Amino acid sequence: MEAAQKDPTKFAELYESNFERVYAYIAWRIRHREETEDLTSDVFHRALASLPRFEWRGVPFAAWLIKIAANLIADRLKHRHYANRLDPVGDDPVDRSLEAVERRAQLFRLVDRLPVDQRRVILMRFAEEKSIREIAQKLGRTEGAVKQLQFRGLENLRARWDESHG
Amino acid sequence: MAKRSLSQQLDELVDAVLAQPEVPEPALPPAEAKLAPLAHLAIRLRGLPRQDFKTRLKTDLERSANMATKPVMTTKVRPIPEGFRTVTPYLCVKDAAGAIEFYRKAFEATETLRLPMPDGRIGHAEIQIGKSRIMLSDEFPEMGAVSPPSVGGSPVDIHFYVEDVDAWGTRAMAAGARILVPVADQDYGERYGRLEDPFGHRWGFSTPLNEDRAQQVRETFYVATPYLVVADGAKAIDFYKEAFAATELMRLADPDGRIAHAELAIGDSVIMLSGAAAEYGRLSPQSLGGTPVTIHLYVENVDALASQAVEAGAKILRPVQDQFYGDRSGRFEDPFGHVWIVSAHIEDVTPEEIRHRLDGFMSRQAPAERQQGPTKRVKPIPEGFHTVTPYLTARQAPQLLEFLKGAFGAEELLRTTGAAGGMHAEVRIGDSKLMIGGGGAWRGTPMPTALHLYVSDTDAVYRHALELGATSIHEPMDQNYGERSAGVKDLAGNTWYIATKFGPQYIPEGLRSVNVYLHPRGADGVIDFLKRAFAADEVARYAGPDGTIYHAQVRIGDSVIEMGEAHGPYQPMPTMFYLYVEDADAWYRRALQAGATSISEPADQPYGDRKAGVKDPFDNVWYVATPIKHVPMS
Repeated sequence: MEAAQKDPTKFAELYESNFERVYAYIAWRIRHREETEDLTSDVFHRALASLPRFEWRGVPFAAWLIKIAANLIADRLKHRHYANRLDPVGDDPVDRSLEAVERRAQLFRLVDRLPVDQRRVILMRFAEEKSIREIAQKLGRTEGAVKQLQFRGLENLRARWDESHG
Repeated sequence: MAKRSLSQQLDELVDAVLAQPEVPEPALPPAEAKLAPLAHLAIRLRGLPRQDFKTRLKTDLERSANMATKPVMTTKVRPIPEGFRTVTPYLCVKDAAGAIEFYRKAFEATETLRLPMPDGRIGHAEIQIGKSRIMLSDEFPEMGAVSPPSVGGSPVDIHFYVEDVDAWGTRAMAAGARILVPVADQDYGERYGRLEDPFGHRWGFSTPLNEDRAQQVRETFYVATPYLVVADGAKAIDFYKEAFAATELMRLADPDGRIAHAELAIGDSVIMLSGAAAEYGRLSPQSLGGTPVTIHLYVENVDALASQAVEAGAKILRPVQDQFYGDRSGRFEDPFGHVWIVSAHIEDVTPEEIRHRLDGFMSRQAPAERQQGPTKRVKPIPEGFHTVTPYLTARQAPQLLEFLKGAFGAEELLRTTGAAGGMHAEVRIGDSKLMIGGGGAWRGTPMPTALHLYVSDTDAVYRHALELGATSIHEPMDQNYGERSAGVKDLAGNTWYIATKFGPQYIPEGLRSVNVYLHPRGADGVIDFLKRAFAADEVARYAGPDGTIYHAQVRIGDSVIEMGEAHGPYQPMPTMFYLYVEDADAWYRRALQAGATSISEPADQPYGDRKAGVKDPFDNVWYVATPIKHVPMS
């Protein structure tokens, strides 16, 4: 953190350790992909710009980022009508939502550690929202094989999740 | 109701989940109860971020961060001579005069400068293609300037965005270029073609197919853009940022982080790069053993940038100094084997004055060069070879050769008739050379071989091999030793373990594109023989409690042979090897002492090698050879 304040290029490390968290928070509040990407980008750009002014007063950096995100979401809601895309619990105070967000972020990170072909399918299916047929074409495999990879990928995630949560 | 497989049922659940993006607890179709936890997981995965979004945002942030701290290289007053940009490709060619003539016909190049040397070679020339200057020279091996045939290819394409790629392709073909990738629409929004000129340099031409891409590339329209192949794309991007103050414009990475394509801005120019992919003929300078293309940078402050590059890890080939032709420049090799000249223009010198100074320069250089003496000594390992070359023999040798070309992108380097009336051919696959013999009047016993072939995309190469008639041994699968691998048998009975290592480099450290894999009975005996006969080094050994060797690697000279004890379907496949060594006679004697039997005594061969042959106790055949004179190919 202090390193990043002195040298903004170190910001990359803070980004790496917080990206999933911030994204998961925004995705949970605003169930719309483009809007989520837009806001995530906004959060980090603002954080970078105001990094020199961030004061270490016991507030963890992650919480500071979530705070920025919450403010930006509130802002956007004022100016645009995104109410229909809001989670019913969208007005939850930041603190209560953090635990669920943290779990979601951990799950996203676990995807990164799947074997490469399972990871590819899970990313194409859930992040890019491609159909099994599209994925099969893109990877040059049968639809049956892709479904099998999806199945093994989710099973694997489930096992790894259980492992890290007892 | 027909019973649906679990993976089918799960997919129906996932479909339902994805169809209701805004519903916290979506309604799900009936499915077996044990799938419920996976369906819940799917619900939580709905907001999974796209991989490329994460990388793109990171790049954006880094660029903002950099701009906030470092002053960006200003482009206002540049010591860049008229007509030049920051980046200029510098091509070394075997026949520079011929190349200039070819580029005139093929690419409508105009010659702007030519400096002949006293011996007739072109010391330096400049041509204009589109909006770019391109520098070129004849070969000067004594100064590190080598052409594509000497290097064995090129790790740098010269890429141009043009308005009509088809016209460029047609004209180049008519002038004698060889098509590597025929002009066609690509799914990334460009119409693209790639070709090799008669001098071995490679050129790419693209026309954007949509307005977006046209906008993105408008700065580089008709500008010669070097496209570098590097062993590790991500590391290279970091290095170029640090060394040359490059900024990242875009990066496309696969899930393993391997760079499929990246674009970096240096000063007012752009360079592109990608990771190596031997099966598409994209080899790094490290696998080729050099580069015939130097990247020339004109910069504001040459001394500062040079020391920045050295600090980042560049190797000095020639320190920064004032040059007689009016530049102050130095020459550097980056950690990925690419060569850079960093220059600032310090004095305007007319071509006549340069020629005059060049004469003076040459007469001062000459005595020093004479002292070095002639460099006629024949190298113990011929250009492009390594110590160990597998020699595949087959009755259908010509068909095998075609298969290797089609399935693995092998490049045919030589085809001739051997002493026994069969074909002798040499091919390169990735960074490795192989010899192939047989067919025709040859009546010897074929020796099918097992080989470990590293490629950037196992699945694609596996499919392609099957299409071309190979039979499957096993489908691509992730292995617990960190590779994805598949097995095929070709029409001559050779076994190919096609593999891609996970991580940014798809070939493991120490190995090559092609590696021999032995399955002997008594692997420790083989290792012992190789140690005594060929001074082999044991690099790795994984053995069971009873001493059975599951996997071992031994190094002979600069090459590694892999092996594992014969078991199950993996039975011994005695292999024929061709070894290039300093002293064939001595190696032959040592092999006999270690227990080998003689096949042929050392003797000078008409093709320029002194060669002897032995058979080891495990039936492997080893030819040891020392080049004694250069014989022109064919």
